Amino acid sequence: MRIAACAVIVLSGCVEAAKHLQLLDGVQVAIHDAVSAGRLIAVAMRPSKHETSGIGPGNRDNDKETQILEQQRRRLMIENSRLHNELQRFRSSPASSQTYRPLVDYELLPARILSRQGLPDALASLMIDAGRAHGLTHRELVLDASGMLLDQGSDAGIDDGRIILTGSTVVGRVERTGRWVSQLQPVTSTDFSAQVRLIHRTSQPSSSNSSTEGILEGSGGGCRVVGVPETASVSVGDEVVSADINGITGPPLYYGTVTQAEFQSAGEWLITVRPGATTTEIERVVVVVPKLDMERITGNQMDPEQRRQL
Amino acid sequence: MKQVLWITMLAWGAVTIEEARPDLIPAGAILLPLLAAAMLWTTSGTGIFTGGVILILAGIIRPHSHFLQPAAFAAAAAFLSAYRQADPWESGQRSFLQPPESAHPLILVCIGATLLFVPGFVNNSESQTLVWNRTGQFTVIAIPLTVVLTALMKLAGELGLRRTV
Repeated sequence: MRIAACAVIVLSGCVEAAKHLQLLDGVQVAIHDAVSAGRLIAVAMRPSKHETSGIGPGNRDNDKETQILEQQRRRLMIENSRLHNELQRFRSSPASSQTYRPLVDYELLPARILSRQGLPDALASLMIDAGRAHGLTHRELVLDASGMLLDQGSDAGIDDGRIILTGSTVVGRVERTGRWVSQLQPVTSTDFSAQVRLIHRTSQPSSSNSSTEGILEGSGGGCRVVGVPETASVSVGDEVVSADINGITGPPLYYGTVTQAEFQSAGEWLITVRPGATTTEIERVVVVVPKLDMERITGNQMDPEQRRQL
Repeated sequence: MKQVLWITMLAWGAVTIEEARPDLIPAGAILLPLLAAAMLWTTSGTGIFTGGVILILAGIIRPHSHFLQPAAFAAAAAFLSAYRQADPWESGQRSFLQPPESAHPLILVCIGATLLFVPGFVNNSESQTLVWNRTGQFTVIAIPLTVVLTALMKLAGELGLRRTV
C-alpha cells in the first residue's frame, strides 16, 4: 500500500510537470471524449422543464441560460476535438514537414571601398611582403589595379563578375579578384554591360506596368541601353532594373532612370540612363554571391536512396 | 483486476454525472466519496493506486483541483488502510489519534475537499462567493453520500459480503 501511495505521489508530480509543459493537451481531449458519451446520456436523462414543478420564472430563465451555455460548451468541445484531430493529421502528413526552399539563394558579402585610384604604394608594399610570406603570385595580389578597390577578395568567397550593390542599386561588378582585394568595375565603365529590363510606369494605377528588355552599357560618364526595338514603349522616367543576376533569375536590382530616349536610324531606341548610384558617393558596398542550398541538396541526395531501400 | 475494473467503472459514472450537471453537482462531490469508499473497501495497493490514478486523470480535466490532492488522498488512504488491517479494537490499543473505522471515509473526503477548495479561497482570481457556494453544494452532497457509503460498507461487513484480509 505504501508503494502504491508513493507511486501515486510520483505520478502526480509527473503529471503536474507535464501539465506545465503543455504536454497533456491530447490526454485532456481523450479524457473528455471518454466521459462525453456518459455525460450526454446523463444530460438526456435529465427531467424536462414540464416535469419539474415549483420553478419560478427567474429560475426558468436561469435554466434556459444554463442550457444554452451547456450546448455551447458541448459544441466547443466537439469543435476542439475536431481541430485537435485535424492538427494531428496535419502534423503526421508529409506535406507539413516540407516547406519550400529555393535551390539558389543570394549571400550579401559586405565590403568597403579601399581605394578609388588603384592600390596605394604603401599598401602595395605591405601586400607584397604578406603575399611573399604566403607564396602568392603578383596576379593574385592585384597590384596593378587602376580603378576602385574593395577590401574583400577571394578569401571572402568573392569571384570575378559578381554584382556590387549599395542598398538595392547596382554600382558595378567585380572585374578582378585578388586574395584580399577586388577591383570594382563601375556601371559607367565602357567595358560594363548587363541584361536589363525597362519598367514603363503608366499613369493609370489600374493598368499593368509594361517592361522591355535590353542591354545596359557604360558610356564613360553615364550609361545607355541598347538593343531595344522601336516597337517597344519607352519614355523618359522609366526605371532600369536587372533582368537577372549573373544569369540567374533573382530580385530586380535597380540600375537607374531613363533620362533620354530617341529613335536611331537602325530601328532601335537610343536610351540614356542616369545611374542610380555613383561610386564617388559611396564607401560601403555589398557583393552579391549566389549560393546553393546545401542542406536541400544533401536531403535530395538522401531521399531517393532511402526510397530505393524502402 | 476486478477491483480495478469496478473502481474505474464507478469513477467513470461519477465523473460523467458531475460533468453532466456541473450547475448542481460540484466536481468531486460524488467522485471523492466513491473513491474513498472504494480505497478503504479494497484496503490493497491496487485499489489505492487505481483510485490515485483516477483522481490524477480527473485532475487533468479539472484544472482548479490542486495537484497534491491525488497524492495526499492516496497517502491518507494507505495510512488509514494500514490502521484498518491492524484492527486496533481487538488489540485494545485504540487511542484518540486513531479514529473509528466508520470515520475513515469521511476523513478521506475531508482531505480531498480541503485540497479541492482551499486553493480557491487562497487564489484571489476566483470569486469568494462562488467558492463558498461550491463548497456548500459539495458538503450537502458529499457528506451524506459518504455516510451512506460507510453504512453500506458496515452492512456488507456485517452480512459477510466483505472480504477481510
